[in-house]
Amino acid sequence: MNRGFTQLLKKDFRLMLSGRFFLLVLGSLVLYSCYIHFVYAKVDQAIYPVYLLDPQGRRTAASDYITVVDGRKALEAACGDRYSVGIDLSSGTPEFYLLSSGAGTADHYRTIWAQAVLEGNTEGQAEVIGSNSREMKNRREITAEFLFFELSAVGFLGLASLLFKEKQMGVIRVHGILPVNRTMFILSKLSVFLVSDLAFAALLTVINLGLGPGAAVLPAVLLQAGILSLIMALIGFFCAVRLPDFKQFSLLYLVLAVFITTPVFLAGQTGVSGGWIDFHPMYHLFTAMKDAYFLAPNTKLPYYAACPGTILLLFLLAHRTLTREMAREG
Amino acid sequence: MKSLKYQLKSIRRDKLCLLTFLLPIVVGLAINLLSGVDFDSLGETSFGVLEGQISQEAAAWLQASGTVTRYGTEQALREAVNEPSTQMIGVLEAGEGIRTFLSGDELEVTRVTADTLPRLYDNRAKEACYPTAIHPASTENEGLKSLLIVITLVTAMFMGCTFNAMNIITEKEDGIIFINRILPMTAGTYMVQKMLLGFLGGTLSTVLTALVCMRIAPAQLLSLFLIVLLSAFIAALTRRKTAGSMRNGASPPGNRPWNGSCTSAEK
Repeated sequence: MNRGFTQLLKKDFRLMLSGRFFLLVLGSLVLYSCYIHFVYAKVDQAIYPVYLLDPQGRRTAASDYITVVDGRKALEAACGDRYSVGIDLSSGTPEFYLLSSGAGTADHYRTIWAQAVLEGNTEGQAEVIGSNSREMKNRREITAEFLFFELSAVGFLGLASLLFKEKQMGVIRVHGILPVNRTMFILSKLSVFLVSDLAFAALLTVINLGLGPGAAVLPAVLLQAGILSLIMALIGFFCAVRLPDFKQFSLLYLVLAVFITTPVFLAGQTGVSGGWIDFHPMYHLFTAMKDAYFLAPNTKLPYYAACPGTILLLFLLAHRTLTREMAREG
Repeated sequence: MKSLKYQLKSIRRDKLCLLTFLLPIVVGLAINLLSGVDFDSLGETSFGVLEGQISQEAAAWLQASGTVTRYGTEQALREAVNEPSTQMIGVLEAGEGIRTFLSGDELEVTRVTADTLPRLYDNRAKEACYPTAIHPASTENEGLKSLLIVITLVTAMFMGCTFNAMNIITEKEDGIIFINRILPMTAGTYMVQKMLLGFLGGTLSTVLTALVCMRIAPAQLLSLFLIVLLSAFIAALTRRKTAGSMRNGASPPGNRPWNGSCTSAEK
């Protein structure tokens, strides 16, 4: 039994190698890491710039937030981004000029901010209660999102493409007459993908968070990555066995990517919560992954009861579908 | 024209082609139904206050500059401020004024706002004593929703044409490629027919999605239509090329393009 399982593992590993799966994973790792290091870690939004037109030099208070312009046209052009605020001092009394950003409250705040800048009222220090810097928060956030995407979409596609290749080669038909346990057949595939996903998760975390913070979150992240990897691999397995060709599968994949992962990303990025999103199963997997990266692992018992239950159910479903498919193939 | 009718008939029978054609339109409808999510509030400053701890005056002042969310306990307020996906500033009343706190991982705009908010509150009596001209923007700004619409339209242009590629692959699988070899039709004619089909499909899909998603002013109609036409043409070309390369790459040895030549062994 053990020998058969080892042989199956070897066969699946070789198939992944020949299908250039590891190359794809490595490419994703490099691409994601470059994006995080060079782009996302530096994402920031500056405070509303204030442009001042002061031909007579009436301004008394100096401020770092003010940029002086030399004409009304230049002032209006500078405020064209709907973000900046203009102050015209040419008539003696300050006149504020701004293009509406679309939100009335934001426009009001921009006005009182420009007024405070003009009067030099910009001192103060708010209390900081968190432990993350902006850069570290960006790194944790985007790494969690990329890992979730990689496991839910790319992992799903990886196993399915492997299985379609085997189907084309007639492997399922051959397995129907070989004395190989079907459970072993599924388990060997799950094992190679699980190990590959865990290695990817560990590398992505350590490269993008750094060795210290990466090691601190790794146990919780690997647990969530393992759960997600098993669930997605089993769904991929079920779909690949059930659907007749890769064309139909690619359409299903598209629907999955658009309708399942997009709302989750929107909710994750904007903090929109409550309502319909609570009934989205992927949302709970995503928040568990994100919480793991922010050192606040999900400890809710229903979640940990539902995950093994789902995995078991999907496994039984995949097993049944494989048995049927083997019977159909003769 | 007659051959185009046959091509349309072939597409009508391919359910996957129709599904890929309809997908962007369905996504467009879904975005329109997203009205339950208030995207406008995403551009506003978000303040979190403690229920019963803050005066009506301070709450009203904050409400004029952003959205105010009330929390029952200080613990809940601190957790909301610490939540990484939000940019919330915690505000507590302190004597005559207010004091603020934040997580420390916010954007610069939020950080500076939190730092300076107590001084702004102290000087609230001076507000609105200067003339302020807030000009409405010339175009509607719907932030994230407009971004989603743009993404959907771009997808529509390419998805509308994916059905063309899907159709070519189905034809290849069904062996129609062999029939084409003996029909009095050149590869060029076939290519033009398929491109025309992709072009029409892409245009139709994008126009329908645009009608579902956008309120278009009559003045913009012509320019938008031109953009759709040109983009759909490029997409049709791309899809034709992709399907063609798939056909050539994935074909069995005998399944080459019907260019009239055959191998020396066959001769």
